[in-house]
Amino acid sequence: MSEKKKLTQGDLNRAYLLWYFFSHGCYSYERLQGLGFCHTMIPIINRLYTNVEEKILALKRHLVFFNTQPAVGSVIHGLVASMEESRANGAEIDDAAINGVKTSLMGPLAGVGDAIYQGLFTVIFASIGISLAAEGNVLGPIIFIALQFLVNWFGGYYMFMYGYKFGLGMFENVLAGSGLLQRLTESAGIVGMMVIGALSARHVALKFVLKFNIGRTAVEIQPILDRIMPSLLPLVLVLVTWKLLEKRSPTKVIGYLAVIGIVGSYLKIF
Amino acid sequence: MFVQALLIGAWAWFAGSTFAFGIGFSTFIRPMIGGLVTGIILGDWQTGLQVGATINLIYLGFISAGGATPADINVAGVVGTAVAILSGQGYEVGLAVAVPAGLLSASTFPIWMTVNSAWVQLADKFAGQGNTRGVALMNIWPAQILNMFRVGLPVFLAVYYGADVVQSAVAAMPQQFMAAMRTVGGMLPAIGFGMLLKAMGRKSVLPFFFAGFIMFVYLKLDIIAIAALGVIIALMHDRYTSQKPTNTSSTFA
Repeated sequence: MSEKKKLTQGDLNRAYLLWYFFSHGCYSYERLQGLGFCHTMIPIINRLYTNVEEKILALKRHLVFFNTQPAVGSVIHGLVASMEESRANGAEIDDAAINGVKTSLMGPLAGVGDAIYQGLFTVIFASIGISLAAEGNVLGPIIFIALQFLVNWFGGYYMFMYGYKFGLGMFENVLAGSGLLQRLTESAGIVGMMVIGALSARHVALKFVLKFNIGRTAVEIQPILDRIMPSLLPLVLVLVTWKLLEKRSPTKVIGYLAVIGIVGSYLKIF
Repeated sequence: MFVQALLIGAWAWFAGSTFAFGIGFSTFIRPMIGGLVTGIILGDWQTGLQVGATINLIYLGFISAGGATPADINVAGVVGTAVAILSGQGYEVGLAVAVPAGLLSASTFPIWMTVNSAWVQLADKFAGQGNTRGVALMNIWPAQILNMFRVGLPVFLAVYYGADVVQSAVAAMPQQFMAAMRTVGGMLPAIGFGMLLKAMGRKSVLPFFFAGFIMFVYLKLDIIAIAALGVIIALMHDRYTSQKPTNTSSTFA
């Protein structure tokens, strides 16, 4: 047995850079981010496996179906890098063990990651950016880009290195048994729901312009509704849209809303 | 105009390409950014930024998972902004063009993802030879080159030929159409929030949606304040629901 094989920080940084840029480089129905994952592993494979047979096996091992949320899910890449390192040093870790870790983690982590990144960060940052940009303030897009870069780049980097550092131990102790992922998803869900509720009121706009004539007095509907509950109509619209989306494709629902809006506007209802 | 349309097409390709997914998906594809860049290319960044922000609003809650994306918000933002600036009309015209453009472009996305399987199989072949370079090249280039034709070219054509078409169409439109577009523009953000509710609105967290709504409407709190309160409430919720039974229960035994 020759000297112990060790990944350098440079290898890990290169691997993370590849993941950050090319996670969806060749996004396909057949394997989704599978090729992106394999691409990420190339600096790792090059360092750990010197003969061609081992390289071929390693490349094929990582060219399987894979899909997760890129920032949170990059903990898997760190974890797999540490497993590959142990394997290259003679530990008994077979293909099934490595792929088992990948497939069992990618789904739950995508759930947490999407709730945090797509459901929370992006929505809040975009809301802030848009309100500035709508006034013609160029700080809107700048702040948006800066915040997004901060959470995506550093969040992903931290997860990647965390996964490598703690290796399989983390998988067994922290992720698997304790229900931590479920708790995280639940917590992110709570914050996300509150933000979405607030943003629904802030950004969805729908008002009645409809008037009735009762006797000689004109009665407007909107002021009465406002007294019952401000933003009631946007709230109802969001809830109805949600129910429609449970059964129909977003494309159809966009069509429904457009028709309702145009017809309602022409009939002087909205 | 040819060069400007070309530049806008090139930007749309670059922003939407998965080539730079880490920055592209999280930032460049957003209409706020695409609108600003389109505005800069067309010499009116301020209008571009404002129209882009308005278009961005209707896609605020849009999420995509596993390749299922209901609208190409990148193309919607760039084309909508370009048409709004070039036609000299307001954002209403931009919206009216952006939404169909986004739907149209998204409809070609599944074709792209299907064809990409071919490159993955080529990567299999390279992997079988232990050719790491070949595997990397397959991930980097073919899908992006394909995207030049799926995204870049249509955007170029839409900007180069589209503005005139839209201008003459707008001239024939009644004033009421603009009002209708404003109404629709106000309604469409509901789609994104509906999608987020569909993805995350489990029974256990749904009451918090109404809590956030009420905090904004009645308490008139800022979004950041509501998010911060949300974090505190989530911490409390986690603490009170996930605690293992401890010796506190033994007092009653």
